[in-house]
Amino acid sequence: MNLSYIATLMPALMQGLAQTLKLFALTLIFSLPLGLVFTLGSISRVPPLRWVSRIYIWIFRGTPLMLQLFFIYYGLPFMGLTFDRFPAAVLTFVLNYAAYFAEIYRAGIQSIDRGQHEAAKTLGFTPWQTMRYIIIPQTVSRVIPPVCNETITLVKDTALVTAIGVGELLKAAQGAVNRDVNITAYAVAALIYLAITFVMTMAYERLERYFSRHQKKEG
Amino acid sequence: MKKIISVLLAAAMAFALAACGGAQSSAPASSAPAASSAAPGQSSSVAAYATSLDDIKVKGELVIGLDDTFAPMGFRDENGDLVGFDIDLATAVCEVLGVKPVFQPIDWDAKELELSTGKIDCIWNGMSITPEREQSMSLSNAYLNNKIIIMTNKGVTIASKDDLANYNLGTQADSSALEVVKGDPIYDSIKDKLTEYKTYDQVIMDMQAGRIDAMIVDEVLGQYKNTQLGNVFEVAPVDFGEDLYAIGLRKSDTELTDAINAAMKTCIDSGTAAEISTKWFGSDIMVK
Repeated sequence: MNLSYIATLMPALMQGLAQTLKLFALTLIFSLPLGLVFTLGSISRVPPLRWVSRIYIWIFRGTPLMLQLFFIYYGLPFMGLTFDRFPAAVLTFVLNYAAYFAEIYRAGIQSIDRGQHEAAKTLGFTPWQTMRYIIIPQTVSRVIPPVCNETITLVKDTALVTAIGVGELLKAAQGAVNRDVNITAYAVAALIYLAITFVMTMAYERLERYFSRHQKKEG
Repeated sequence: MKKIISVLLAAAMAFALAACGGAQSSAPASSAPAASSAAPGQSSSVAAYATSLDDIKVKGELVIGLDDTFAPMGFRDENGDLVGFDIDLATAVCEVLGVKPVFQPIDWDAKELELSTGKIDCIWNGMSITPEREQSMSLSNAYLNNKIIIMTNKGVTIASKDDLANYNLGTQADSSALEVVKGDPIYDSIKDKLTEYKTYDQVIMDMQAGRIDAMIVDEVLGQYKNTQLGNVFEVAPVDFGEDLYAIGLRKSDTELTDAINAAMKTCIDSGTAAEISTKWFGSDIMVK
């Protein structure tokens, strides 16, 4: 490995990294709340709401993300709906990850003891108030580890968007490998991915500590 | 009983939805692998995306689809700028046409889809003429003379095509080299030894690792890679014949194809094309 060669790789890799981080951030911003909508739908007492949510989750968890990218980017224009490359990538990732987050939240909500719903009811809470003030706050600390896991997967899944011609970190590395016939760029890209997940892991550990502070006092 | 009915209803709905989804997604899903085989009917279903020379002139730009990781035809230099033989040539041809070239990086496997869905106006990226592409696209006249050659690790002797069967071979999937080999009578005896990789870079890495002994590749690409590596590979004295490059347009866009052919001829006659060829390959290998 030659440091001055690595320095020449950096501008292109940094450009790719910017795209990767942009896609990552936009996906999280929209899919985290959207996931909750589908969670509430999938445990709703209104059958059509429940069905729609569960079918949505089934479709988006049940097909490859790559195929969904193809469908939204190349398939929708046949139905008169055309997106540019990057918006199509963001849309697909948001829809896909919302389905996974929905299931994580559902597991969290349903892990709360039934007795708490009953207790809330006897205290005169409406189902919505029960959710908002009792169930969801307790769910947060329980779902942080699996959500963290899923977002780390997201960092790596961003590499799939080259399928619809969006540049990102891995693509930038591939370009350099192709041009220079030298695989150093792959190693540098791997280190960059590791650095991102390292920072994320640290951040999630702090979040976990913060949200479980009340539980700790009890113990 | 009520529960059973609602479960059945949900199942029915799910299947109905899945059926719709399946029908809709069959277009992109089936044409993605169709990148390797001809896609009959694909071009007819997207007649709406027909583009004429006038359309291009009104737009003021020709959107050129390319794999921007394909040195030396089109790739990014250290500053991230697009460079390459095809970039220079397309720029010269667009100048004659009086439009601005817009280079749109695409995934090579999805090039037919990019074209048929109107995302790009043409594919211009060291694309070889194959019978399948002649069927599914409107191809320009051949502009570059290339050759399918065999590159070997040092110490591997391939004096005739029959020797190929003794070695482990590699080439890129969906490449013109593979296409040519498949059409050769020798294919039956070597197909079990021939591994298809996603990119030539992977073929080269495997050759350097010693898991394969030789690769079947087009000369322009092979020589570029070999030069970059300091000539670690040798070229076998046999080859699989010529390989011609053309620009691919939508099947319906024959008028635009003619316009590009005429503009290309202007570039060849003026000597601009020869200059570009010499800059990238050291000699003029344009088709006259």
